[in-house]
Amino acid sequence: MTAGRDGPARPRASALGRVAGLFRTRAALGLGPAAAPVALFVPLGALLGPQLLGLLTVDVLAHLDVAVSVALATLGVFVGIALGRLTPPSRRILVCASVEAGTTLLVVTLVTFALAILWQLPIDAPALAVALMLGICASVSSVGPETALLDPTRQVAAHIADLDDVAPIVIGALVVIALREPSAWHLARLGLATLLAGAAVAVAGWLLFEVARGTAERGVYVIGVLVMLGGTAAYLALSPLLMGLVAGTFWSLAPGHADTIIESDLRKVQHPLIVLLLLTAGASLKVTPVAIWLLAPFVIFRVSGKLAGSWLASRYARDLLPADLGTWLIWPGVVGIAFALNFQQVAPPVAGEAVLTAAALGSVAAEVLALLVMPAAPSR
Amino acid sequence: MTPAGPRFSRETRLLLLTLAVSVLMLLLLARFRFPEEQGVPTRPDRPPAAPLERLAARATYDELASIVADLERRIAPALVVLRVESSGGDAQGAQPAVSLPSTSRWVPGVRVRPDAVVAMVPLGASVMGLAGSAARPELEAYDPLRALAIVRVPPVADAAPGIWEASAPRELDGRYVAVVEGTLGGPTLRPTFLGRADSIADVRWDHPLLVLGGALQAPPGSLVFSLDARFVGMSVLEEGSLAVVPAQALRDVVDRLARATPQPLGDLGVDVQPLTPTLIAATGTSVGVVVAHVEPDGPADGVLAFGDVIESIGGTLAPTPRTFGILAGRVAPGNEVTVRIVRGGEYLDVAITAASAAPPEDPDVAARLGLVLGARRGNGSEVTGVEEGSAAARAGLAKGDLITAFGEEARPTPAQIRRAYARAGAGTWLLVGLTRGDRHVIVALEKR
Repeated sequence: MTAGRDGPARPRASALGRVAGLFRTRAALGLGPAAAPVALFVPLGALLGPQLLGLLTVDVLAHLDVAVSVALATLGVFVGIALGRLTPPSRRILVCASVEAGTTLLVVTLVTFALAILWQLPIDAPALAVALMLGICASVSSVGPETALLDPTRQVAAHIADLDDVAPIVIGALVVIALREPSAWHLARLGLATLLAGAAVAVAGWLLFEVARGTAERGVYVIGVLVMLGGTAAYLALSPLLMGLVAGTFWSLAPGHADTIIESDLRKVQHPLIVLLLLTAGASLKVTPVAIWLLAPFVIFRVSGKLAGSWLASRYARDLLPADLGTWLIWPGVVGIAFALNFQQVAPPVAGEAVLTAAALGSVAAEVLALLVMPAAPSR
Repeated sequence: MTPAGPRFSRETRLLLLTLAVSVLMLLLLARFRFPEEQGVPTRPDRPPAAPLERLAARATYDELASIVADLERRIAPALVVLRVESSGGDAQGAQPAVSLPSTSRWVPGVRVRPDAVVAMVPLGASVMGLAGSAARPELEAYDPLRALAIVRVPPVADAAPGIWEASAPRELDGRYVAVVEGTLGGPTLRPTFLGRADSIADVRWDHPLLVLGGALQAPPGSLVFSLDARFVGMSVLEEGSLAVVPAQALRDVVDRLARATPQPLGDLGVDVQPLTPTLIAATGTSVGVVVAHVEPDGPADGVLAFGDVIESIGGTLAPTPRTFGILAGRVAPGNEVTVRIVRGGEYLDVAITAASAAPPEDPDVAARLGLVLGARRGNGSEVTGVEEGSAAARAGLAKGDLITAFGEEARPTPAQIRRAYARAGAGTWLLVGLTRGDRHVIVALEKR
């Protein structure tokens, strides 16, 4: 029996209700099922950005680099907390999520790499790194709008969407390192440094949270630890997402209540940070020819990858996953845009801008596409 | 009996359809090629920027100010600002004439010893004082060719000796440096961004000079320091552009000055001018300077002739009159130098023994008043002539001056001036009041 097949009938959502659902930001990461408002805030950021109204100037964006790093670390913390809370029975979900994300990553990476070589794209970074980063951006998902909150398939999809970020975050961190020093030694050394730095900040935070007197003091510690995570990653040019993932996992597994403390406090800053990420991504868009050429494979083959990955995952765990999982996972995740922002921070300019623009516009397109293909009736 | 369902589930059919569409799209997309004209220049050699680099590149002025303040604190013990009185003469001029009006400049010096600084002092100028100090500096040694002076100043305990560990020119590319200028209040530091630093050769110096990408905007004699408090060098005017003499080159000159006795500039006794297109056509050569005048009874009299083209001196090319002047000045008076010339289309090597650019002083002339005067009844006496090398010439009197006071004589007649000078004993000073144009000035005249 699969969750989707015998579940209650889904309430049919009106088209207006679906669109309205886009703008709800109750839990953009998928810890609570909701849609990321990519289609709203990315275009809004582009409108405010230096290319159009110029309210968010290039100088402002440069100064937001640090805030973006902190926001990326925060996203990593959420994923880490979700990972650390996995119970033994649900670890198969992690495998399924990784299979689904890995398949999408592989499909988009291979196709983009092949096309980049065939097209002879003029990019100032290795084509494989660009393709891999687009694949990583494409591999993550969120779930549909809240109109189908009670749908059991949606709940499974939300669980998958939480965990399909883990493998891409690890691979993305390695790509970030490889862009700077493409050697196995540096990959191992800086990869270990990322893990150790994340763990060190996590331990410091854990000790602080436990001794905090009062919520105000605890809030200061939480914000301070997040700033330290993002700032350390930015200063060392490491992946803030992986550092946040390590820290979040540690807080979940460590004795005490660090994970609940940080989760409850982070909920207060979660939405502003996500809005900041999306606005920054929108304002940083540069619709260059290279970005437009990368957009098509991103959108088309992301759908193929998601459907193929979900199909494979549902074959691996027929008892856990519904067969129509893939259509739910077409929704893009904020984490995908976060990957692109992180890549833009460390990559050469042409490649960084192209990947960010393709990933952000592709996410908007994927969200619109998801509205069209989202199941509106019980699957059979 | 239940009717047989489709062979593949709905999801599998959707997946197969999507994959088929994707393959078709892939085949379609693969037929395209990225148009070259839309290409963006790739820069594979450019390292990726660190995440904070964009922010760091906009290092706030506060941060830069803090760095400069720290640098100022570190190098301040090594800096002294000299007050230099200049007669307005050219630094490369042959005569250290003291004419009026004189101008004051504040020139920065950097310590070469706890009690001495090296600074750029124009030829003919005098070091008159120190900024922020009543102490009187003393000229210890002077290199007229390079206009460098070693000046003795009040000693300090810590003269920041580490500053002489000079930066390599390549280290300066794309960096900030601090330019130190002299002011009445002491040395001031100004950060300047250097896009690039190139080296050029100059006949005056043993080390190549640094051309700092046109970024250097400072008077000659300014000092340049790296932000890690290392002395980069001193700015000089080179062919109309500012260049920097590296610290090591300055150090070499200072060491030579400290060891050797000062020598006057050499002189070959010719006037030269640059080759113009017509002179090139007439002389048949395009490299060198053309002789416009040979001083009678001078070192080159009978050796060089009007119209000769001097190509090199002592094996070093002399493409401009300035280079010729420097090369000639470097020949010690009494030494012989080989000069390659082009005369009538033929190359000739001739030997010339240099004389001193500053002729020996005639004691009889030096002791004379040396004025030719005309009476201006009721107003004083007008100078109608000044004998070169005389007391009046040394004091800076010039033709056209109206002497309104001479010692204790007001509005003196020529006879009163001559009598007052005759009465004065040797080694005494007389104050002379002058009207020059619409200005009233006072000068001191020494009777030897």
